[in-house]
Amino acid sequence: MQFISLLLIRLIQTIFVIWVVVTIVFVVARIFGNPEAALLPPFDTTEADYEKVRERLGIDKPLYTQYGIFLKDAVQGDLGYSFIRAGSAIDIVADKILPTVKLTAAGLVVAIGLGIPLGILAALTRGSPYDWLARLIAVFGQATPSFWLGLMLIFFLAVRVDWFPTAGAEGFRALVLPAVSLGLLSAAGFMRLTRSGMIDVMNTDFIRTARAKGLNERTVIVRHALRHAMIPVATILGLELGTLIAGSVIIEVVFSWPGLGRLMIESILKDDFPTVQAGVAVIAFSIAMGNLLVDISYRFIDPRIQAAEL
Amino acid sequence: MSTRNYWKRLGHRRLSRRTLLRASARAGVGAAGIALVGCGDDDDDAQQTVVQAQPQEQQQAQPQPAAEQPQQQQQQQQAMQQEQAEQQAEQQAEQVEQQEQQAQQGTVEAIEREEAQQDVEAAEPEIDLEATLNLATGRYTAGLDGQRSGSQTNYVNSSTVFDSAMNNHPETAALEPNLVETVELIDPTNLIFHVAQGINFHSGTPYTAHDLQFNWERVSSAAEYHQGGETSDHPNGWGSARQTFGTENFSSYNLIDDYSIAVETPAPNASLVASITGGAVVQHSKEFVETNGDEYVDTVEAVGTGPFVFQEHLPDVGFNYTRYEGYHKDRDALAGPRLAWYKDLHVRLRPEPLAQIAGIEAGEIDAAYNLPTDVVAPYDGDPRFKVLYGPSGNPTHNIMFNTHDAVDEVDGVPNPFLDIRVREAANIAINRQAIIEGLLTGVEEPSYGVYKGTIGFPGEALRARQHPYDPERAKQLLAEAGYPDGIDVDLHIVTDFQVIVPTMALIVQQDLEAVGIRTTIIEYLSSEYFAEVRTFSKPGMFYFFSNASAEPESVIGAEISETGFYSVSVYPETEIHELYLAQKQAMVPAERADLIEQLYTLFYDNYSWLFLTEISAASITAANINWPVGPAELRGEGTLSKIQKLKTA
Repeated sequence: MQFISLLLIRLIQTIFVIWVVVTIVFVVARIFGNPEAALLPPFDTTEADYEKVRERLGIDKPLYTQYGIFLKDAVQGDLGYSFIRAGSAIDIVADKILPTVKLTAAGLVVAIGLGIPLGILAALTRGSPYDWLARLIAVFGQATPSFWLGLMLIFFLAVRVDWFPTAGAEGFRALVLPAVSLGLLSAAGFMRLTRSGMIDVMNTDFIRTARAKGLNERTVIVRHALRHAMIPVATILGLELGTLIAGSVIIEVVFSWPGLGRLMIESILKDDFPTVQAGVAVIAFSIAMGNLLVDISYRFIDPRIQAAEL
Repeated sequence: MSTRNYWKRLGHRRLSRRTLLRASARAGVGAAGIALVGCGDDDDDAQQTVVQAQPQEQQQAQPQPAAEQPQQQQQQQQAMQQEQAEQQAEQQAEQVEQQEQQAQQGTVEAIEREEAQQDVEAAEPEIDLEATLNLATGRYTAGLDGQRSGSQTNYVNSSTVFDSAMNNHPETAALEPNLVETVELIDPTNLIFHVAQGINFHSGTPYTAHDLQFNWERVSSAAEYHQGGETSDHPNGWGSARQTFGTENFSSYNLIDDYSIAVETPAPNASLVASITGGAVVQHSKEFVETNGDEYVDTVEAVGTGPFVFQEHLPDVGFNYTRYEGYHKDRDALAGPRLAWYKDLHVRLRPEPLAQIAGIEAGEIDAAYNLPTDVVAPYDGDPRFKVLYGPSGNPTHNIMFNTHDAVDEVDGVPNPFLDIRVREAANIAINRQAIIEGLLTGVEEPSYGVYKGTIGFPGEALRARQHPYDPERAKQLLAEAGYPDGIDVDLHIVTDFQVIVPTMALIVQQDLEAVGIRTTIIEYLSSEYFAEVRTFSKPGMFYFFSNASAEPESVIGAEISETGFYSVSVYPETEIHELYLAQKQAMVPAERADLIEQLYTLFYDNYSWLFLTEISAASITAANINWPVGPAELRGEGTLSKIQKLKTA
């Protein structure tokens, strides 16, 4: 019961967050944007043409009226029609979710698959060359802009040795470079957090007790130490989800990946308000949901944590 | 390997090439001799000798000098030619003999070298007519309908699947026939458009005057069956800057027959033909659109008469096309699209220019275009690439002097730009060559106002009158105009329209300041700038652009004529506006071109703008790609069928 209440509260919070974010985007876009200028060629367009387009797009009305209409429609699941593409904004955004989810998930796999084992290794071999190397990788990952890393990976692994395609989204090979570019930054974060968590846990009494009981080292590390060290990692996982989705915006452009990030960039550049609003709503929703899932996962990682504490 | 060479060596021994060449040379000389004997008389046929070896038609087209020349002279000439032929044959035979001696005396390696040489010769670049061309584009491509307006238009699809009714000459920009064969001028307000017969859409339907009329009406939103505008099944319709296209310009249409349509206009309008037969009105099949509806045409399938047949649209990934084998123009066509030099065209969307270039380097992409020049500059000179520069979409940058008010309303100060000496001073204060070499690529020219690919552009005449860089003279002119201490003015610029503008503005500011024209740069976003320019309310100078259109009306009508909505610089005391009005009514193309030429020259001589420079765009291709364009063409979507992909070893 307590758990269901938690879910409901989180759902309400999520809706509130989405509303705030979309409202900010709505207002900012209309203050600074000028979609009729993006739609019509500047040189042979008359003021009457602009007026006609403004009227058709519904942006000739006062801001509060536009906002009222937007909210009324949004409650019914209608986020408007794209200004530049044929179709409703939510449909257009929905078409792009799957490629972005694919890319983000692959980035997450890289981040976790690289970050956590390196963190464990570094913690267990503290002060050794392995530890030093792992920390070096972490520094490199955190200090490298993902777009630059992407371009370097294209240059060396796609152009020079032809292991992967330089761009596109056709096949598994096309996923590797964008996923690595996207995941490396987060991997560095995971590595550092896992390392510090493991070092702390390995010095605790219950680990000493486990060892005193005669458990083998593998069991001590995997069943006891790692489980505790994973709680802060799980927390950061929710935040990293947002980082990965935000990072995918640039990575999708660099690798010509046909996802939500690229759609957002194009829509922002062309002042396609409805698509931007729908995209922001979807991103906000997915990050909020990701964080909710992380909260729920605490209970499974550490059963002592109760719903009330989340 | 050795076995093959062994047998080849045996072949050399059996019948050497020296023997063959000698035999053929002797046979050729003998044939020439026979021809001399047979044809060496007074008859006109004497010209058609084997030695001259010219196609008969070509010779017939040439003047016939033989009757005027003494027979002896002819025979001497022919004897000399015969002697030359014998010498050449002997030289060839000696070369082959040497090679054969090497082969006979030498080793297998010598023969292998010879084979390698033959292989190199055999690998001479040859156009691969069955190739697939992979083209990268960074442009957003929404729908498939080439008539959707403004920035929404899918330019790639428009230029591949669809044709425009007429094309522009690649050098002069003059209108050339395409789907419309001729435009008959009955009187200045009555024209008859004759459509070419025997042209079919990709669907097999013949192209007729019904289609031409349909497309005019569709673009102007006048057709009932057009679902754009208020009746659109797409809520945003086909909102267009060209809403008035047709409804204002046409008094009536009258279909004479399936291949002719008479058009009456309310007044003479010389730019009308170019407007309604150009790329803005690509030609759809009336039957196809009416059967399937606008939405289908925009999202599912595109059918036109263009050089490529639409195959597939992969949303946000690209387009696949294949060559239209029934295209109505040969590969050597004078203007516009032609039967493609390759079989399949795959267009791939790659927003990031460096990713496009990486694609070329990795062999995934053959060509990319419309790129910033600084991005491709590092690859210029790299043998793996070809870097090509050409005019950009806004090919000339200039600064307009606001000459609307005689006196500044705020300060009460006389408008300095009404004095031609001030305008001249500003023009000769700019070191354009330094800009071209220091900021740009070095291949640009100074601006002469408008795009050099427009009809009537007097290229050489303007180049000869170029405003020289002379800051000392500029100071002197300012002093003569009554401004010995210089002037202070605002320079209004747009910062987000073209990336180079802020930098260019700083250079202009520095050059102008050196002669005493002190500017304050006022920055705008494009969302407010173009609206601001139209008000003519702020004094000073406005940074502006021309666009790359062969038809000059959109530039001179909007930016130069006194009534233009971007005409910040107006000069009622000159003939500029009269020339504008005269060319607008000059229905004979040659007369119109002449008037436009006069207009441009006068505009330039009047120092009407502060003329800056051309701005280039760059294209980059793999080394085995040829992409030839004429001086009045932009290297882009419209010239895709000209690309040749060479076979590689």
